[in-house]
Amino acid sequence: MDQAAVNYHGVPQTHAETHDHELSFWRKYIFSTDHKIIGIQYGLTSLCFLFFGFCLVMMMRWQLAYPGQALPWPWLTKLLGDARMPGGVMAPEFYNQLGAMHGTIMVFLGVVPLAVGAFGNYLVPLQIGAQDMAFPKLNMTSYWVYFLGGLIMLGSFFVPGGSAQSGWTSYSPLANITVPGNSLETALLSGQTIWLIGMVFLITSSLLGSINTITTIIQLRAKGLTWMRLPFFVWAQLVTGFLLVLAFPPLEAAGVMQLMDRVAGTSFFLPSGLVVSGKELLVSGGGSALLWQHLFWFLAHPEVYVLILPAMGIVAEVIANNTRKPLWGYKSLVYSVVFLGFMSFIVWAHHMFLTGMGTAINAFFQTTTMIISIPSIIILTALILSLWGGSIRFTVPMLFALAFLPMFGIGGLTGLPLGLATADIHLHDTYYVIGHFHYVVAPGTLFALFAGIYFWFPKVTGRQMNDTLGRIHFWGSFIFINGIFMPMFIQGMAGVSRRLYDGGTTYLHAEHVLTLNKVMTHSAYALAVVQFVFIGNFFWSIWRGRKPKDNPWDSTTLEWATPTPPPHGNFPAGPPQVHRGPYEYSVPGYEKDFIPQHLSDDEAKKKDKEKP
Amino acid sequence: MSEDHSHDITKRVKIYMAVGAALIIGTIITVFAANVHLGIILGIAVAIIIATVKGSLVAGYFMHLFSERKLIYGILALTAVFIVAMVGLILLTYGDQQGQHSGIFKVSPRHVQPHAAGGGHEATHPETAKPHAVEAEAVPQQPAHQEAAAPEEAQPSQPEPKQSTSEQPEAGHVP
Amino acid sequence: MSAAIEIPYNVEERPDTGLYNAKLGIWLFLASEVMLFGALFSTYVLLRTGAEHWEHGAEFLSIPMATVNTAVLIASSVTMVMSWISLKMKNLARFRGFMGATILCGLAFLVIKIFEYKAKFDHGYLPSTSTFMAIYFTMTGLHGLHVIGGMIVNGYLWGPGAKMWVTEPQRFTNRIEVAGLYWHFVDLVWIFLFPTLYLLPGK
Repeated sequence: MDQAAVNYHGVPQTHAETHDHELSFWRKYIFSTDHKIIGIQYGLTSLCFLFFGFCLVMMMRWQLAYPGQALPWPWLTKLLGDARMPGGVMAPEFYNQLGAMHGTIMVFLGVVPLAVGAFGNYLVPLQIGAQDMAFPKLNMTSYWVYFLGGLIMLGSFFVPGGSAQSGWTSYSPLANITVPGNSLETALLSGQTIWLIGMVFLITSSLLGSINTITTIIQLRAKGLTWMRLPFFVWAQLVTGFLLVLAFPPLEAAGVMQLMDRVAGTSFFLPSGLVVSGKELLVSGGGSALLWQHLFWFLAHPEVYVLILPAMGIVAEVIANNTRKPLWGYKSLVYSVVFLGFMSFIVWAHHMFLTGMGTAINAFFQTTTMIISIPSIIILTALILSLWGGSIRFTVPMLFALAFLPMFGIGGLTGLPLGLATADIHLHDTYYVIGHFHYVVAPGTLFALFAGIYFWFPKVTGRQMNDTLGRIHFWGSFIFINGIFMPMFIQGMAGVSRRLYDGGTTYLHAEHVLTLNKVMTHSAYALAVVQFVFIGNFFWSIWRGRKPKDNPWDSTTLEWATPTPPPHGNFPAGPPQVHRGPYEYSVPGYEKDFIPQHLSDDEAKKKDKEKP
Repeated sequence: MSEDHSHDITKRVKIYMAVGAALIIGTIITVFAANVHLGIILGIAVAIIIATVKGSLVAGYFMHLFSERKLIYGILALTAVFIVAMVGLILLTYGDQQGQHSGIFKVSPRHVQPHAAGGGHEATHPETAKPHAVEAEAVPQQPAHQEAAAPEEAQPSQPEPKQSTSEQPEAGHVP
Repeated sequence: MSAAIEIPYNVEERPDTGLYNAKLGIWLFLASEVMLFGALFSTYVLLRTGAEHWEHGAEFLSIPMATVNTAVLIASSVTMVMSWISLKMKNLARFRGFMGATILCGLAFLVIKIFEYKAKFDHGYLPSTSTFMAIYFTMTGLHGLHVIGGMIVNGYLWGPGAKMWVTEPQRFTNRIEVAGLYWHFVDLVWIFLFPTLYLLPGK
């Protein structure tokens, strides 16, 4: 797109003010400040991490289905080495490493960067009619800090003692004491310490990114784009930004303190009189292990809403578009998502019902947890009701978006007994919990993210993904993902604890549900096979996919009003002006069943008469 | 920012100097107040109040908060609510231990039924949950309860027999 | 390649919010910093209420040094805001003077801090000595890192960054205002840190 040296607002620029000389390959594609390139960088990196995290759990699932049996892949056993897999059988310490890193990688390196870093970065400026994010250089910095954090996390596998192995939750005192030696050097070079350093990087990246997102949405909305005309996706990203900016710092503080505990010998989280392996720990004591839990969950609860809100935003966009009618209850959706964001800060101790808190405080957190289910249900209901009376097009994105609804429903409903303190006594730390949160994140968020990938792929790449392969991917994923996680509820209710290296074989009460381990493992492997259909489709389509028009889904929101792919600056014709709401589908009196947001009434009538 | 006229600026400069002086004076006062033995509660209150006044001066005048936009107030108000919630709720959690033997929800001991089994309360001691759960069986009930009931949540060091926690990732047979 | 990108409201304020972008951005950042130091303060509160015995700051720490440091930071806040006012009065030389003074005050703070820490280490007081020392070192250490960060930014704006005064004076003034907000916040944190760690009575 060659242009004369005028700026966005049509004012001629002096030579000093223009940036339209050709940028080097490094500045254009690697250290780019363009939100679209950065969004793609986040997207590709996070998809790699998602795949890696999945590989980790596939190894765990072998151990769970066939405890004590050697892996049937000698090349893998050889790669991992004798220390991790003595005789081809998984060592318990390695199982714990896989568990901790699977959680960490999926949440912090996979889903959040994809949902917020990729989708948020790419789409928010486009959907609000802006040229870029408010702070492009900060955006670039955020990505590279995330990248570095990811490398650090991966590096933790290769130090003596292996990676972090105290769960993604890193509870003290266990996380404090997993040091393979006594010197400062070994303390620094241990997996848990590196995990903490990596977290500092990731938290910093998130903070900088969320500041960018919030400022962009507040300050850079196009003319006419009032708050109640924003696509719901943008509202979801705005609330997510606030969750990240206010909830992450306490974890950063806690991470620094746990780091001090490990490296400087402090006792922030170590109580007095702690004895490890028969020897009293030579620390000052006086700390509180529960303090870690409070600070951790103060973040980690809002974090789970960070995982789900962008997904709800994507599903809303896809549903409105594929039902050819406005979303039901837009206002309810907006008020609910804001209320949800607020409430998410005061429910965290429902993760701590069994730590000995008294009945009064348990009742408080139980109450807030029940209250927070209300906006959640309102959002889900509004999305479901949006289907009523719609002309549903069962495109591939729509299939994933439709599946999201009951899957998130199951995930959310199974959260209710966990949120009730008494029921939680039985279910806490069992497979029921794992089933619950995976339903929300895996067939929930991940399906929504798939919907988003299929939906926006044409805009990003200028090509469309193969439809048949997409349907195979959907049905295979849907069937097998339920095969993995549904049995977990059964196991959990039978009392099978989580984080058990042998899948429960040592416990009599788990005996009758142990065969389910095999069902889940084989479903996981089948799910993996199906994902290769997606990966193949994804890359093949980038080069050989069908080329669609600029707005292949006949959508109303602003990102579809750009050339494909959008150039640097997004809107070459100048800033769009918004004249109507985001979901003007099937408006009475018009031939076409959609009116893009940026068309005035006159323009809309004119366009309506044009041939499609 | 809009252009300021020079007398506006002179006024601002005077205000900044006055605030600076007030901050120094506040510092001197707070140091002297610390030397007066006010007792714990009054001492803490005085220090916090002076700090809050000084902080408000910095925020209000140096950071222009007294003349700032609603949006900024809104963000800060939200932050304040969450800070209070975080600190307050965590403190309340510590104050409301199972058995209600300590803290702000303390119930007088004569209203509490003695437990049949041993270490119900020991098991839920917030500072040392796991190590003491097992040993509580061996300790005679009443004295142990009195210890747990100490309102300052004593860190028992010597009297309690030591218990091992199993350390899973022992040494380095994993590379 | 393509048209120049110009992000609106970098200099002028957006009418409905009354803010320019960087001001909103820095306040959001400061909100996150409030949560960060708030978590540390809440740790102090919890460790203290849970402890049988809590030291009075004067037992281990040097109140005179810290009082001087407090005065130094207050002075640096005054010079920081004066540097911004100087730009409003279109006086670059004055700006350089006041900003230089701010940087020097920051340096003085750090030097005194180094002496303080050294005195602790010489006496054998380490973070591992007690939870009081642990929270003391962690809070003042993190605060010190923030001072260093602020000084780096201020140094850049005093030096190479000041070139922007020639091409975009309003945008440069905004940058100083934003840097000032950060610096004042660092002072604000110390105003609370000082009495909490050094002056509060023990138990």
